[in-house]
Order: sequence, then C-alpha cells, then structure tokens
Amino acid sequence: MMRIDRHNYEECFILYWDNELTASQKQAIENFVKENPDLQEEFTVLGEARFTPDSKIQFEEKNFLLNSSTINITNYEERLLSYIDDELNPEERKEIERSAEKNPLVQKELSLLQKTKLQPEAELVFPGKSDLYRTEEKISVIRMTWFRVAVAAAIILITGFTVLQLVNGNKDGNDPTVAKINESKTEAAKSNNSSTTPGGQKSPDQTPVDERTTKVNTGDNKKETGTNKKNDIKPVIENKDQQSSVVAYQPENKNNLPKENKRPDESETTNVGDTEVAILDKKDIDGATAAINTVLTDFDVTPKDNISLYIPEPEKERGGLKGFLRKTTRVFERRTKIQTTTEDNKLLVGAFALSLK
Amino acid sequence: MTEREYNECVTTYADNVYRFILKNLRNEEDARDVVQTSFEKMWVHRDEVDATKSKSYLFTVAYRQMIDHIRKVKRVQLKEEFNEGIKIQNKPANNLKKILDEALARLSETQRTLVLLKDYEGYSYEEIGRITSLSESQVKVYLHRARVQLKEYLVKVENVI
Repeated sequence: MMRIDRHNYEECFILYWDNELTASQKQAIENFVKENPDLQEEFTVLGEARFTPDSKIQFEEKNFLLNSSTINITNYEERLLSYIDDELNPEERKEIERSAEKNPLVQKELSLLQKTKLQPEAELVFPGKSDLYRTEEKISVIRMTWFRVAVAAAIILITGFTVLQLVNGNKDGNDPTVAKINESKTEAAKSNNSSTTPGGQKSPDQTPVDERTTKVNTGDNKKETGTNKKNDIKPVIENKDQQSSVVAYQPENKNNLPKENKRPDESETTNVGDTEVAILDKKDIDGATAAINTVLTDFDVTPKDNISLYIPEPEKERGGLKGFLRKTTRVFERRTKIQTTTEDNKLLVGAFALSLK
Repeated sequence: MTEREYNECVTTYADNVYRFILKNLRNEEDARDVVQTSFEKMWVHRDEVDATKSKSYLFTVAYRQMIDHIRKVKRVQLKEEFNEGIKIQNKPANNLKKILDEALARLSETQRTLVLLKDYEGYSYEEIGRITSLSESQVKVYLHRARVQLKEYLVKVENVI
C-alpha cells in the first residue's frame, strides 16, 4: 500500500471502511488520524456513510419457494386451477385463500384465472322447448292392440264357425248341389216360365233378375242389423242344408233362403235363373222391379242406391259358380268375404259375432 | 324415467343443453337440431334412463350428437375460426365477456367442451370424464391447459389495451 499523507488520505479512509486493508494497514490509518485531528471528522463521516442490512425486512413468501409446502412455486398454478374448478376440499380451498392473501403473486394469478371462468348466459333459451314435451302413447297403444286382438279373435272364431257349419252343410248337400245345379240348369227355362206364370208375390220374387235377389239381400241384411240377426242367419244355414248349391255359388244366399223356405224348388230355379237367364228376360226385369218394390216394402229396404250397387255382384257370381264347381271351400271363403266386404264391414262382423254367441 | 320426469327434464335442462351446444357450435339452427335429437333419443330410451342421472345422460347424448355434427361440417368450422381470428386482431376488446368468448372460440373443441361443462354446469372432472369418455386425469390436464390458454389470451389482450 502506498504511503498515507494529506493528499491521498481520502482513498485510504474509503479502503479502510470498505474493509479492504490488512490489519497493519488499518493500524497505520488509525495512527495517521490521531496525528491529524482535523481529519478525524471526515474519517468518522465516511465510516457512518455505510449501510447495514435491515433485519426487519424479511421475505414473506419464503414458504412459497419451498417445495415441501402444499402450495409452492412449482405447483401453485395447478392448485389454483383446481381451486377455480372447485375440485379441492374445503381445507385445501382455505389454504389457497390464505396463500393468496399472503402472496401477491398467487393473488394476481388467482384473480386472473377467475376471470376466465365463464358464466352461463341466462338470456340464451332453447326456442323450441314446447316441441320437446311428450306424452306417453304406450297405454293407448296397448288398448288398441288388445282391441285388435279381440277383433281378430272374433273374426277368426266367426269364420271358423261359419266354415265348420258350411262344411257340415256341404257334407249333407255336396252331392245334391251338383245334381241340383244340373237340374237347375235344365230347369232354367222352366223357372223363367214359372216365375212369370205363378204371379202373386212369390213369382215376381223368384223371377226377378239378380237385382231382386240383391235387393232382397239388402232387405235381409238390414233386417239383420235392425231386428233379429240370429233368425236371419239360421235360415241361411237351414237353406244350405236343403240347397247347398244355391248357398254355395251365390254369395247372397240369405235373400234366396227366406224365399226358399217358402218354396225351395222355386228358389232353386230362381237362383239358376238369376245367374244364367236373368239378363235375358226383360219382362222378368220389369216384374223384378215391381217385385223389388214389394220386397222392399216387406223388408223395409229403403235406398235404391243399393240396387245399383248390387247389380254387378251377381255377374261375379257367374264366375263364382264355376269356381264353386271346382272347390266348394273356396266359394265358402268368398262367401264369407262377401259378407264382410260387400256391406259395411263392422255391421256384418257384429251380426255374426252375435249369432255365434 | 317416466313421462313426467322426462317433461321435467325438458323444463329444467333444455336451456342448459342448448347453451352448451350453442356455445360449442356457434350456430343456433345446428344447436337446436342437436338438442332436439338428444331429447328424442332420451325419450326413446326413457325406460333405460335413471331419472336421477337424466342430466348427465342428456349431456352425454348431446355431446356425442354434437361431435357427430362437427365431424360432418368440419370444413365450415375451420373457416369460421379463421374469420374469427381476423376479427379479434382488429377489434378493441371492450369487455371481459366478449374477450372471453373470443378466447373460448380459439380453444379446441375438446377444450371448449370441457370448459363449458365445468363453468356452465359445474360438473366435476369425474363427471365430465364420463360425459366425454375421457379419463379424469385427461379431463384435468386438458381443462387446465385450456384455462391457462384463456388466461394468456386475457393477459395478451389486456396488455394490448
């Protein structure tokens, strides 16, 4: 070290207070100050111009830096995210809150993350909510199915019974049918004549073309619906027994049946006549209309519309006649079908159901 | 689930599901379709749905419907997002909600779904996992990542202002 004198003492004093001198050098400085009392003040002032650490100042977030603590510099973000996602238990939540109070860094981060939390917008409302409401159809569906099952069962029973009865009737009259048809064919001309000759109510009834029979049918049918259905049906069956042929090939047997009850022979002839001769005889037709009127009055048949409706059917029956000759069962089926289809289905079904029961 | 429970579910949750889907799809018509289909499905399967879990069932169905829908119209979605990016740059951010909506739009579909399920409906990670067929830890990771992204977007916008 250089020699201390009055020119360089300041630098030496600073070095002294900065503790950059050896003990001997320090001693030399102290001796110099004693020798020069006028420099004593400057020496002490430089010494006081030093800073000492403020022990009161402490790093509050010291724990935040420790990995051992529950929330620290390495995990605070994850913890805060879990906090705002509400995935922490109450104790952990409190800890976060305490930490946020103490640590501005945590506080700032937390408030920022809380801002990212979305709020549902109440003004957003689903517009078609009324379309989403539903009502159970299950119960009604069940009812329908039961109803349908009941109807189906009833229909099956009805057809089954009728077929059985018809089959029984056929057993009695199958052979006769062929014979009678032949007879009826041979007697067709006779029937025409006879129908015209007898006069009275029966002759027009028998002679009339298909129209009559049809109308008679309508009359009978309406009777069925209106008055006694059983009675109407029973005669049919009896007639079948007597004249299975007629019953078979003519779907509208009922008409003939009552007539047949009155005069079975004539009815046979009329049936054949209906199919084959009906259109040929205009006189018969005229007589038929008259007879129809009478029949209508007798059976309370009202609308003439029925007549027009039923006229085509007998034409079909002609084809049915051939079909009958081939297979009687098929004809029975047709017969049953006609019963269900030609007129209002429901009424016929109901009528049969009642008769069977 | 009875008819009454179903109708109550409509009353209580239709709006919630709609919001959830609408925020994801950003198209009212599509959102409506998805919600309707979801409720239809719930109605059809109401016998199998536990009434107490009807909400999560509904959200699960709606989420799947939405994913199907997004897959169908993926190209349109991308175009929309691109436009949105331009808008954000030009537009001064005036309120937090708007900024957040923009930030939300920039998240991936999965992230957006998770954030909405969490913030709108308050579902737990576990429940969200069930709805979205993700594991709980996946939900947590995705959701945290999404949240940090949202935060960074907020900070960025605020700094710009």
